[in-house]
Amino acid sequence: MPTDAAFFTPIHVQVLAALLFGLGLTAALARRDLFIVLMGIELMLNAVNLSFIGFARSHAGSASTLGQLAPLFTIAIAAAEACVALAMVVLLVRQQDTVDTDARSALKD
Amino acid sequence: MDPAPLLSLLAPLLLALSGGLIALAAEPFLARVRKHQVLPWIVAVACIAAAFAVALAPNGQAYGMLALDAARRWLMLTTLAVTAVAVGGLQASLDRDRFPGGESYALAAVAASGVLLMIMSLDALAAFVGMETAALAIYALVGLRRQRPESGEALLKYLVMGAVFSAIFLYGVALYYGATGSTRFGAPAVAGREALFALGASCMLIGLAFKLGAVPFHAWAPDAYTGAPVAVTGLMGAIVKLGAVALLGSLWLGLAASDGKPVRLDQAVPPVPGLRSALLEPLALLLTILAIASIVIGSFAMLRQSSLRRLVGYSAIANAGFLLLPFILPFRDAAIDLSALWLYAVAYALATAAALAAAAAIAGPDDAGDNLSQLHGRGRQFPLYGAVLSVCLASLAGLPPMLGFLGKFAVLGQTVAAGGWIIALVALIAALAAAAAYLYLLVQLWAGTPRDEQPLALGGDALNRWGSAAAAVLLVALLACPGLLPSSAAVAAPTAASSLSAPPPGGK
Repeated sequence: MPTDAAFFTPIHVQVLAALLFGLGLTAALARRDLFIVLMGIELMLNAVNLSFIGFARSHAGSASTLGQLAPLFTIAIAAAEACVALAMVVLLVRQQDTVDTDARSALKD
Repeated sequence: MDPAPLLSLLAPLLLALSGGLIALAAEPFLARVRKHQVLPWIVAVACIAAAFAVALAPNGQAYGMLALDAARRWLMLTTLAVTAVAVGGLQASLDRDRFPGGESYALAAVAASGVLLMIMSLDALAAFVGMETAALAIYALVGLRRQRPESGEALLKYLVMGAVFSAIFLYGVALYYGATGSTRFGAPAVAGREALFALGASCMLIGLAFKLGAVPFHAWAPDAYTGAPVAVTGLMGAIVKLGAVALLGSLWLGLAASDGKPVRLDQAVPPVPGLRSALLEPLALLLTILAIASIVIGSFAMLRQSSLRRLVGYSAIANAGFLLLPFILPFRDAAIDLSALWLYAVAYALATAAALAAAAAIAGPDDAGDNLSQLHGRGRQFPLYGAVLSVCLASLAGLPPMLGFLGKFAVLGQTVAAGGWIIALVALIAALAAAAAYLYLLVQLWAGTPRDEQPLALGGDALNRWGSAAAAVLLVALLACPGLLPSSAAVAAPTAASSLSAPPPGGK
């Protein structure tokens, strides 16, 4: 039976993080539902956290500590961003009773 | 770089932030009319106090996290000046519209403190915190007029794209950390992780190119600029660019040096030879292509615009291109010098913020009258604002007695010196097209009389009159004393110079 370290190498973590990031990016750019778009953004930020933690295992000493600390910053900022984004959703739904992003396309040249 | 007391570096940031927090705390206790009389002054005084703190703080770095040098000092002073001017513009337009809330002034101060953190930071993680502090405040400012649907649409587009590109920047930071074991700018890559290093640096560059509004990450800019209140358009156009160019400069000079030392923005850095061909040359080529595309697309699209804010949006794209031109690498043995970038950024930020603060005062109820036809003849009606707009637009167009001329001259001169004279020629032709758009706006301002019969109402605008006039005077006056302007210390090869100037052993 493989040990924990051999089973879960840093490269596996990075591949998973990259996949999650790509999934989040696709959802944020391609979907029309506002909530899915915001969830995609959250997924991107969480993929970055995973990437930081994965890299922390491949560094030693204080360099490793930095990688374990960085996600705390990301989590705090992602929470703040979600606050503003959800306030925006409330504002948009009050103006126009839909969460479809394509319904907002009045501004153009 | 010498160590400096942390508090002296943090003081400007804390002063700007506390100005915002005081304004936010005072807001509920003021009557609707008093909000627009009192709060802008609190923020403006905080900005002036923070500017004094910037001027008095010593050069140096603290904990490898924050730093101050001549170029950063210039960018920070400009950020604070621009915020005070934009707050004046906000006061004029919100007081005129009897806007019910006074939170916008506090948000402007918070955005300024975020940008100050971006400019000072030596660490990508600190820079990200500053970037998001500024961005979250500016999202709220863009959606300020909650009743107007175009404002909500601009907020939606800006927030979603901004959050996506912030995440891309942060992923770049994570990859950069994986390659170097540090999030500091200028950290060298661990052996064997050069590809990760290049990928991380590229993701960070893409995130910052979005903040600048460079093609192909520019689609949000005209819409976000058009939906925002006029004074907010000036604020976001100016300070977000200042923060983004400071980060681009830190990242670039850090990549060039790769010695793990704190990055000084006011110093010319000779690139490490191996890195230059492996990493800097492909990235510089990419940035050059983005620069030319931005200049051409932005400048020529300006000719078709009828709304002032949309015109400024495309002008922001064109100027993002000019801000990327200094990243063209110099010839093989020369040092990378970004002083032209700082000069151009200062000139652009001052002119944009003052022009839109002046325009905010004369844009009519709800800022709905910022079309070129509605601005017809306003210069004669309001000579001060007309004069401020004239000076600022002339500076943006790059006409000689203004600072914008010096900025364009420095950037294009550097491009030619680096062997890119065809690029400079293309940029110059596009700049002429942009100048035509600015001058057409000037003709509209001064030719004839306003078409509407009833007089245009003005709000309380004492701060706006003083602020935008002071910025316009600065645009001319700074040209007269070039010794004050940002320039790089001529330290091409610091190790060689110091070994020459040091007394030989046993010489005394």
